[in-house]
Amino acid sequence: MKSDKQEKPGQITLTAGGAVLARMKAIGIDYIFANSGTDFPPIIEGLAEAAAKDIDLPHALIMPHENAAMGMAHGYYLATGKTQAVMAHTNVGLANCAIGAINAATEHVPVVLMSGRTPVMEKGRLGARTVPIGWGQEMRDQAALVRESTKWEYELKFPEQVPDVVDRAYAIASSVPKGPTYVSLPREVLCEPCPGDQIDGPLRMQPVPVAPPQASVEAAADILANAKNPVIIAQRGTGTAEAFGRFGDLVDQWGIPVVQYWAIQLAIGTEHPMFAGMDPAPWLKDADAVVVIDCLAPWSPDIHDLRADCKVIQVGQNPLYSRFPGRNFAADISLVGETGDVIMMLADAMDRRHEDHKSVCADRRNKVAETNAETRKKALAMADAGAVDPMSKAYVSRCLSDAIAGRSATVFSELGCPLEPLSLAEHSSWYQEPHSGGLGWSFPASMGYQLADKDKLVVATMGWVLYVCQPDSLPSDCRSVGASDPDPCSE
Amino acid sequence: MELPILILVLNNNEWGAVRQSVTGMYPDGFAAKTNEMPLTALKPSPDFTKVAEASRAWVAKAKRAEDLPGILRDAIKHIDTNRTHALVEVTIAP
Repeated sequence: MKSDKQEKPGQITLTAGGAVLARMKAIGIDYIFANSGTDFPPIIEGLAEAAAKDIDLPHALIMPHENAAMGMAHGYYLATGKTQAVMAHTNVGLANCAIGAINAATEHVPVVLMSGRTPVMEKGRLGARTVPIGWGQEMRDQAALVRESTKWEYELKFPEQVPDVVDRAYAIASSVPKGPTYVSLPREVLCEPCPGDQIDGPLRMQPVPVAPPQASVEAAADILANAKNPVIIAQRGTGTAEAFGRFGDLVDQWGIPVVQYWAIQLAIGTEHPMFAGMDPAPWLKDADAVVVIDCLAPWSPDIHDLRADCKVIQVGQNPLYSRFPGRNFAADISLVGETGDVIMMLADAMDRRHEDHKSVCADRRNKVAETNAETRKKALAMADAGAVDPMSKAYVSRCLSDAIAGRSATVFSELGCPLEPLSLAEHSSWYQEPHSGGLGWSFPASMGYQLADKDKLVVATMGWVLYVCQPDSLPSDCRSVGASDPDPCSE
Repeated sequence: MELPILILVLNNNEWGAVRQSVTGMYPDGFAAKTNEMPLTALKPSPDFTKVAEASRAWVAKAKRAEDLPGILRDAIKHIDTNRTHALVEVTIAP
């Protein structure tokens, strides 16, 4: 409830630190996952000032370690599709964010990452250095700690730049191909007053959506429709629940096997007749068309050979994965865009072609389903055979599958339970650690996901070392800075 | 803040991913034949149920295959009832 005396941001002047936060809320950021430090006084003062004046703010959650902050922002995005913010302390805090930034960049997860910049003034200006770390934390190129993982970076130079800089950081992070952006916030600038008249109002630079040319979609559909032995390799899901459903129907209708090789997200239910297991080898050797749906490395060139005449269609936000220096998989056609959107476009194009291929598809579907049923039977038998002491990871998956059956659940795995023995049928029910391999991700990511979806059962399974490396995540689920949230740890 | 995650810690006292990468590249090499492969063993492991208890989690240990289903059911029941996180440490094969 707002009081009659609520001051609108436009009528007042905030510290630039407070303005950063207020602008974030205005453009739709729900949470800031923050690990504070001595660069934070103008931020904290701004938080308190804004709260006192009833100005809307994002929830600011205290994170004991920056790795957990990045993981939570990542997991929250997976649940909602909404870009969140992480705030850390100068260079040392930013250094602790680096692994999370590497992971987010690899997974096209947008995060607005900010950290303070130690004051440059030794005296004579509000915000100047006071304690020795003010000298100890100065760097010439602080942003370099995360530069290869960020799409865009900027250092705030004047307080009145705050609304523009926050908008731009958010818009660029949220534009396809999505990923982290970084803003450094010098303390002296954060201390200066920022006029409040630009804080309200919608995002002035909207994120850029991207779609493939229709001609490319048609060309890809021609290849796929006419292929005798098509294969789809999907590593990072189908983007949306709508596309998940449509994709399941499409591959069933056309009899196309879907291999979830090193899958980080679920593109097709594990009981779906077209789910062809985790190994692309038996399918690739005869394939004349392969559709790669958002896979950094869709197969292993060292052991998997393709037919010389096989056509490869790459789908993704950045289908050639240009952030990575070496990634030389063939791309006869690349379809750029968010996975969900591209799948819907491709499905529409395939629908228009189905009539001519009906009986071929029906035959192929039956053969593929038969092969897949055998694959699944073997995988489940192997998992059941692990019910000995000590038990196998695959058997743990089987037990987990039974335990969560029939309820809305999402499983995060980091060298934990494998996917194949699980019985999962829903979009957004499976997440595995990113192929950047920055471990210590699953526990905070699962918490970020749960934060966004309180009703779902969220499971995090991990190799034990990873649990010990993530104790920084533990206390976080007992704390909240939000004044309206009761602290469950206090009696 | 309710974040009642079900955490399954799979404890095999070693770094399995590293072991697999070694046997993958050198299937007939010296490391594959060692009783204890260098740079992979992680013994003794701490008792992470105690780590979790420090954050007031519900904890349990599953050492035998036959016990796991019941423990998972109990863990989920705790989560549904008390809305705090549950940690199950599962002993698995190397």
